Amino acid sequence: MSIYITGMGAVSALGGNLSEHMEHLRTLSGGAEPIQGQPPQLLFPAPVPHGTTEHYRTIDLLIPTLEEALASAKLTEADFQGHCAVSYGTTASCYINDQQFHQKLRKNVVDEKSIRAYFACNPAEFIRKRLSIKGPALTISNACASGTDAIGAGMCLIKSGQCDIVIVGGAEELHPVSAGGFFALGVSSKERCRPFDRNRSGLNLGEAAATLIIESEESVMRRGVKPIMELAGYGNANDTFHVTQPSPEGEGLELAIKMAFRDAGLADISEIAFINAHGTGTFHNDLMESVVFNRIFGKGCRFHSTKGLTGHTLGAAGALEAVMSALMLEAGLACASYGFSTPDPEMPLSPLTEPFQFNNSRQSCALSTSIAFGGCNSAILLRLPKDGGAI
Amino acid sequence: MRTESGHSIWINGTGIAIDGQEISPAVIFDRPEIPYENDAQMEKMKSLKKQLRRSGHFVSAAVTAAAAALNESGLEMEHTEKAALLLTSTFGDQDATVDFIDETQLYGCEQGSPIKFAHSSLNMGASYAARLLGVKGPSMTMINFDDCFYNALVTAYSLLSTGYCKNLLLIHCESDTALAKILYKWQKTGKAEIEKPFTINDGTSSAVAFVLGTGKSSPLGVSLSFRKVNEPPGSDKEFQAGHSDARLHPALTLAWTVMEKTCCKESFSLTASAGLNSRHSIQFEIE
Repeated sequence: MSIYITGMGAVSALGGNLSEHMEHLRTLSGGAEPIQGQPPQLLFPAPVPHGTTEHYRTIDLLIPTLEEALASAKLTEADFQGHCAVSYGTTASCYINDQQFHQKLRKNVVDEKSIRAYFACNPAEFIRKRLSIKGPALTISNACASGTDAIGAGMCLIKSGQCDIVIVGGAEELHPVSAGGFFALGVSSKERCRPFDRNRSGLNLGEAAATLIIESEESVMRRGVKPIMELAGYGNANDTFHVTQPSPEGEGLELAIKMAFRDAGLADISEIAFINAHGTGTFHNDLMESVVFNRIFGKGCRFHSTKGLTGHTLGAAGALEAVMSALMLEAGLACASYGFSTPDPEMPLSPLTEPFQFNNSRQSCALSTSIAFGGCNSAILLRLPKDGGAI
Repeated sequence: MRTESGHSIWINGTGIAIDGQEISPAVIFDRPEIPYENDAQMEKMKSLKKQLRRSGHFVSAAVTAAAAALNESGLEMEHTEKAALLLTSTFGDQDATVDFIDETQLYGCEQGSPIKFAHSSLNMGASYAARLLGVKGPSMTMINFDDCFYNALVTAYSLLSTGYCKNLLLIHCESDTALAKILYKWQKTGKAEIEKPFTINDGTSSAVAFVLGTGKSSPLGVSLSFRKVNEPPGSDKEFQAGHSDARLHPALTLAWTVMEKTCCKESFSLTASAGLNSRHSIQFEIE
């Protein structure tokens, strides 16, 4: 069964909609300027104003992407009365990341407004209530792979015949708790991050949301809409190595990538135009990814990281990078890996140093990978629909 | 959902841990104890307990229940390695999250402990279970206030029926936290008028785990059909395993029904239902 992306929306440091994202990817120019945060590190805010105090900023970020995705998919409220579901990723929004709330909780003086805000900020449940969707609302919290796994879980709901349409994605706000946490781990950088570079000094956090509408082939035909992209394959594997560090040999990531290939029925890896790597700019992550890509694809592998442009958006990263990969695959253009300049002799492969233009009728696939705390590794494979999306 | 008749999968193992302690069906239902297959397996379980001695009670409950379910299923290591792991919870390991935030508030955001930060991640329970039990297939953690266990069953069914895995370890884990206590108090006094998507008991850290599969792979395996219905819950079962957390009632109801079924030799089916919230219930049928 084929599953298609029929709508997308994104906000990140690169901009407040899809066209701004594509423009920056095309010109490799940054969007909003990163700012210095506390503890000392560079942060990438998104150009989205703060909303009401009824909910957290994660929801402020999510709303415009939901609206953009619904509009591009030409979905109406009536379409949600059928077999629809939500599967959304986040790491922080649905736990007590609201420090004011937490302070009150410690003093046992939690007021109703704080509790309301807490319950309103489970992203999947927020979308389900907003659109009166009757199907399941899954909030996937798989650390930095949450966005990719939310897409994967949505694919499973459609493949298993339980749903026709699933709203998938991820959202994450910049927050002092995660900033303090990555600082404590010693992996945050005061400079702009340089994924895969010899002189990489760690990651920059960012905030973002990305929403995708995914549909079964039958639903696409019934609604008469043109699919943007085929969501061809998904893989997920745990390397059971360490709670924060990936396995140096990357067995889990390799398994996840191969699972996505199998799922997509991909026989020839030369169909993959490029890989959007997790590429955080941390020592262990980048080294491991390079080792795995070399093992699977060999020296000709073309990959990049977009985290030099957006920062690491944690629970949103997988969904944001899926959207950006879809935009680049559609345009036949993979951007260079922003921030990379000096190859690391310890790495068997280096990322793209120049934009790569390709014929997307021959190289019609893109791979996006995510790696997370807890040994989680995920991959999704996107494929350009044949005949320009005519089904 | 599309299938009016519900979804069907197999349950090949069940495990319950109340406050980190395994609750054996042998004690509850007078069912013969499932012996550890050999000394090596016994040693493995001892080693597991040793490795859990410093983990929080959420992780301990999740892993203990999962280990018991895996033991009951008799799943061989080569199949365990390829299994998927799904952990579902309403709040996650809130104590671990709070530990880290407490530190940043007390000592400043530059002074947090890296270990506490790592453990504040909501997927740590699943991570420990995967690492200590050797589960290398797809792993996911789901955090939902609403329909927590139902969502997990639907996702498990999806992963199994689409071939992402043949076996899946499903864990529902809840911990007693400051927030749970406040909500419970409010519920009892009627202080809050907010819509409460689940009920809270003044409970403990507990977990219920199932080894699910696409087929029967254990002598104790039973088939499960489930569906969500638009009916308010009846009276949930009184569980004998201590004062369990009400958020776990759907999972515990299922575990209890499976244990009842595997204790009797008759071939009839058993049905049960449990409240998901004030408006919906989940119905189970075990054969």
